[in-house]
Amino acid sequence: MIRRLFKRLRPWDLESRMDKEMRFHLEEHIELLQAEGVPPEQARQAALREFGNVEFLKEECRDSWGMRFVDNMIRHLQLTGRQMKKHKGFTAVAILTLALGIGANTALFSLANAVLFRPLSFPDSHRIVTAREWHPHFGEFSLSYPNFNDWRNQQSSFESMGAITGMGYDLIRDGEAFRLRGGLASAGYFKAFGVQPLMGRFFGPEEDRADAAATAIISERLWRARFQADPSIIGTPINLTGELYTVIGILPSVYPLENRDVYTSLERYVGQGNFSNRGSHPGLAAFARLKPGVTLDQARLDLETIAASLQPLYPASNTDWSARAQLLEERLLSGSRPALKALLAASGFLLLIACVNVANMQLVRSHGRKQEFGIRASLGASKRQFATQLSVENLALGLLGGIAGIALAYVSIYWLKNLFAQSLPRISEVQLDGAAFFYLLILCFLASFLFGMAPLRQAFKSSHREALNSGGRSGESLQARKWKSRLIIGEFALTAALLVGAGLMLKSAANLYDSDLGFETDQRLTFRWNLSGPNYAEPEKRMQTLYKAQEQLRQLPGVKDVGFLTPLPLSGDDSNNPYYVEGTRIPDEGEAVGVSRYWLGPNAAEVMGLRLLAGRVFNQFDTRDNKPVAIIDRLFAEQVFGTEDPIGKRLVIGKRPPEDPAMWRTIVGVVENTAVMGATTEPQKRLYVPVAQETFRGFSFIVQTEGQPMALSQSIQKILQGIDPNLPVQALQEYDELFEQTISTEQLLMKLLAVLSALALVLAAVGLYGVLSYSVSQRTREIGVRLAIGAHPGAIRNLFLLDGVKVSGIGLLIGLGASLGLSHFISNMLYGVSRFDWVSFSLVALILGVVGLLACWAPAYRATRTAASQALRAE
Amino acid sequence: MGNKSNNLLLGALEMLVLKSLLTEDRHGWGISKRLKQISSGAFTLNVGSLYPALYRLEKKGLVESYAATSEKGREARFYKILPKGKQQLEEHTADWREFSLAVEAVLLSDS
Repeated sequence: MIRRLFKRLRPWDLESRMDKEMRFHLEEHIELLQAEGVPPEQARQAALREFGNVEFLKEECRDSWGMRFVDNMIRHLQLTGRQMKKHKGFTAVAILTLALGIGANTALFSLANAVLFRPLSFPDSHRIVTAREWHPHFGEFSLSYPNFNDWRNQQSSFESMGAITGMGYDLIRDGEAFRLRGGLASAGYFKAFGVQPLMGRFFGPEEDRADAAATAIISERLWRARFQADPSIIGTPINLTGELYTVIGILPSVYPLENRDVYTSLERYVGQGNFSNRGSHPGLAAFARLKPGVTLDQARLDLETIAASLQPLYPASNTDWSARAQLLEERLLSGSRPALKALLAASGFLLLIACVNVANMQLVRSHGRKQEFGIRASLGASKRQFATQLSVENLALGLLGGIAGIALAYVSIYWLKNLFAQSLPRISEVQLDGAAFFYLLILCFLASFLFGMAPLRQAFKSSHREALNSGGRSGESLQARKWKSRLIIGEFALTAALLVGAGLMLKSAANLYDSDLGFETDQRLTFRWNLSGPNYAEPEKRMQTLYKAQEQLRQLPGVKDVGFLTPLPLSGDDSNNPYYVEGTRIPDEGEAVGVSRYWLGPNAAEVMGLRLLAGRVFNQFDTRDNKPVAIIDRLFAEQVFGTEDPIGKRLVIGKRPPEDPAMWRTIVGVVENTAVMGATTEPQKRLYVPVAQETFRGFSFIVQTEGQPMALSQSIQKILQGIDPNLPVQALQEYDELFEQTISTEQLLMKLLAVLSALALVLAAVGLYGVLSYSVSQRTREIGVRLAIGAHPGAIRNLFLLDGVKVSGIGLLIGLGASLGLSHFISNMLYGVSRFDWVSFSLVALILGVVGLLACWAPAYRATRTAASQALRAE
Repeated sequence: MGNKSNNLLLGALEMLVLKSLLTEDRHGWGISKRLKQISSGAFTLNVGSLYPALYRLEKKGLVESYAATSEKGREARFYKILPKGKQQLEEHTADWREFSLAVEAVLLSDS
């Protein structure tokens, strides 16, 4: 058995064996004949005659041996090559069409693969869990330090558990200050990731103490950029915002740890008296590593049980506060997943449309090949051979399309990387790797199957006789025409669905862009200025410096107005504060009453362009020496005061009336609601208070300009350097740009969908045009006859027009119908658009209708231009 | 009867080849000589059918082939009947007898 298989696998053995065997037979025969007295030459002739056609005989033997397959494949391939050479135009268009579909899919697959499916580059990354607190009103919330500490000490599910919160530092070297994104981390944080230090060590028990020494871990990126990758940095002190910290380790810059440059001890900071209040949630997030064999659900239960046990112990701060744990990988993906899925689906549609197009082209061509098949059939070729030949041709087309698709995928990936550089995690890891090539290969086969199905069916259905008879005569068979109509219907349906999706996304993106933020961002420039260091310990000193900067900036030519505030709307920073309104019910312990608070400097409300609805904005009299005041937004007014006039009412930050009546803040104005955390989030109640009555170290400036905002960046920096050269100017950018960043994912998605839809539209139009104009050319004879017997040219034009319109119309209707269901999948990405938005649907109908009409009109018009005699001569 | 008889007819050459191999292993030339001899020259085997038939038999596992030197010292390929081949030959012989009797009955009837 094995020996036989072995033989079968080696066709060259068979060839030499056949040769030897037949030569032996021939020689024996000749010898025999000679022995019988036949002269040598005649004996030879006779023996050869008996053998007949040696090649034919060998062929028969190969057949018996099962060598036919290899042989046939070679022949099919040769034929395929000849066909492709003969129909260069067809081949090129088909390959390009397929390349488009396959390339786009492969590129998006690579993107999705890197972003969605590839595990993080940490050991056992599926064991890394991130946890936060959870409250039925606020949803997920950062941890309070004492709660984290209890979780860490009581949990039994994790090998290690740590926490981190953001902390900005100024790295001061040689009199220059660089702003760093940093974090306060506990030892368990690094252990949770299981990452090894590039050099030195991470925090250990000695750092997890209130009295820990001042040590720091720096990022690989910072080490390379600022310390020239000098290994002697370990053990060296660095100046962070005026305090010296000894560098003990370097953290490799791997996603998602790459966004912070310096880490200091969390517990040391807590020991300095911060974060120790159980009711305050200073942005802490817990990271932990599951013990082997412990599931996420077990860990969740563990943390929830601990959180529940803390509630009765600390009712004031912990009532209703529970825990929420998630796998890190899950959490990192949740944001970008729907967008990527929508894109994958759209590119899948594009490939389908491409396949339909190629199928159509093949049907058109197979009609032209009918005669060829007819002749070959009458020469004894079987249907199976036709099918094999067609399949080989399809596969060859598919694979060539795939090869061209690789080039396209390369270009697309380059483009996508640039496009998504800011907005997608792990985008730098995207590449055409083995998985992508495997996917591409599958796509090639899939595409070959899809576009090959219709022509194959056709080849099987038509009989030889019919093929020979009809060749070049009466035009297309009814069968072929039916198939073509079906394909066009499918193509239009797919395109319609894709266009509706794109239309909804486009409208949603436009809504986002035009959405009323409640304040202005154009012709404005922003930057952040931190008054750090011991020089600015006194609030008075800080206010003086801020006023000075504001005054000097205002003097700059080209500057209209300047204001400062914190936090900067759209920056992503926000705060949640309890409040109490005079005369209302005192909320129960644990009851959630929260408002987000903004601190405005003089003029800030005007520079922001906040729209005043009632009362007044802040003025120069709203200082520490006068009574505290506040401005609320419309949502606050409606929710808290209803129809009452809020002006003159008093409230306080805190959960109950203040002991000192001087603490009451009087509401002096109501402004329009603002969208602040990002344009897509729900509106939230807001409260504005004057900076002069409560001041901080860090502020954002908004500079309203007359001309191009960034033109002033140099002079702005010069002025601020003049005030204090040690204070860095951070995040200097156009306010508009910041706005665009907050909606960038939606925008990018819109761009990509627009590109994909445009491609689909072109393909659909080309497909319809190609098929219709071919069917016109096939029916030239019929047209000629009709014209000859007196048909009106207009009637013939209408005939063809009607044909095309009917087919594309049906497709359009099916597509729109399907979209009603499919739009469900993108509904949660839509902003201000119903998924049944009639405008988008009608617009798609209009565009496709016009495209369909144009694609039909040209061939129909040509049909009537054909004179009767010319038409009859055409065949 | 249709299908079965067809199979029988198609297998006739193979049966003859198997039969010729019962007595001893032979090469292709030897088989053709032997068949001519036992049919008393009644039919000359067409070489064009013999070799494909041999290859078919070998592929079906009814015979196996090996290279050896012929009685005249030439290099040749010999065929040897395998147990499976013998078994098939027996079955086919029985079938054949039945079939030829049936044909005879039809041909010699008085209708």
